[in-house]
Amino acid sequence: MDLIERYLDAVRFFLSRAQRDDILDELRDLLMTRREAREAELGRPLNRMEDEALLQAFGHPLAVAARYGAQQYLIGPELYPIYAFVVKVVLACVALGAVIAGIVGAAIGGLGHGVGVTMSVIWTGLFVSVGAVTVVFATAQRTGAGRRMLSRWSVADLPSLTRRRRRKSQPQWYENVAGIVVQTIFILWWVGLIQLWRPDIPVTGGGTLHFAFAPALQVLYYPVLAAAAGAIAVNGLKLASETRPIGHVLDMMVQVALVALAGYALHTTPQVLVTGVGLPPLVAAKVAYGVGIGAEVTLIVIICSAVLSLGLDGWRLFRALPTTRRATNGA
Amino acid sequence: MPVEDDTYEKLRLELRRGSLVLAVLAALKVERYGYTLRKELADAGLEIDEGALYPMLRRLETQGLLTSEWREEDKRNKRFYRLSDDGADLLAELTAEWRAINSSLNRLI
Repeated sequence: MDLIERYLDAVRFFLSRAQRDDILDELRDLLMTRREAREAELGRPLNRMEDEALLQAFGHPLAVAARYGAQQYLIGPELYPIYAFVVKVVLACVALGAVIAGIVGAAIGGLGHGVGVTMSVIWTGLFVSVGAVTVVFATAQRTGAGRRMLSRWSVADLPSLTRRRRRKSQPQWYENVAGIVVQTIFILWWVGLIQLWRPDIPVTGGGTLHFAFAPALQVLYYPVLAAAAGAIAVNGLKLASETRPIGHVLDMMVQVALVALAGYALHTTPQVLVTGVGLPPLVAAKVAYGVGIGAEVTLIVIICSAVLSLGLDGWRLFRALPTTRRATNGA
Repeated sequence: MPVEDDTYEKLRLELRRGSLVLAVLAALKVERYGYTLRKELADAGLEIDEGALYPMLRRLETQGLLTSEWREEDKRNKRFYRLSDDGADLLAELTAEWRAINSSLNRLI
């Protein structure tokens, strides 16, 4: 096969299907014209080495195809500072989670086990947490949501210096950091990287109780993971950005997702399956009944607190609106 | 490469990037295909890498500033580009802006 055709075939692989043939036709014409111009200079056809040199000078097929891409980066310069900040916070949380998991692991299975658990949490936690944050920000970049968020701000929403000084003494940022830490630990637990309690609990007098989520709840695995990653991103944005309304709006979206997820789980009974090994069936049934009530109460509390948080964020947003309007009218 | 040269090269490319779009639009008041366009620009003292020129032409066409047509010439299909009506309007505005910048810089430099 002609070298130019082999080269174009390599470029084809990296081009979008919609424009592929058109771009390749144009590149073919360009390369043929280059070859003919060189042949006219030399007064003879190019040999294989000269053909190779011509294509070498044109560039790597991937680099050539990349120039035709609509989006040249995963996370653009506008969102990158916030992304970098959130990743740093998440990495710190993974490190903290790894230390805690290591201590717990060492207490249960000795120093070697503890070190193993720490390394496992760091290794896998890095990919899961940084990957989740990257997916959230890349989606914001791709859909233009990040750019729209950054364009909707008002000078009136900037905190006054006195408010800023006052805020320094207020524990508001602790809420966001705590949110990031809790959600990161939750993600690590949710994906099975750390174990917060043993699934098999020995019972006095012999026998064990085994706890597991109901299979019907498995459909919530990825939505819950996405909601937790979203909560981390929102807390990171609130920490990094002074534009409070954006944070409140995103927070409200996460809270709505939380209400929907908890509502679905509440609708599915039982949420937790309890099985007893070496226990009278009546004992296991009583425990299952108690755990079922506990799970439902927990879900109701989650829904209530999410609704409360929604109302609070809605109120903060409502209070922020007149300030913006005042600034607009005054301009 | 020393840092100074690297910085110079980056700034030089940044400076050229915007003006090359203006040059391409201006050169396409007459219909041309890629090779002859590049030659026209080079003859005017504005060398442009083909790897940058062709994606730029495609981008300008997507933005509605150029029109293109595949036609046979020298026994081969070639894509001919020409300034669209919108492109001509934009070229006039950009040319005025260019002259204003040039005039301001002349006073400063």
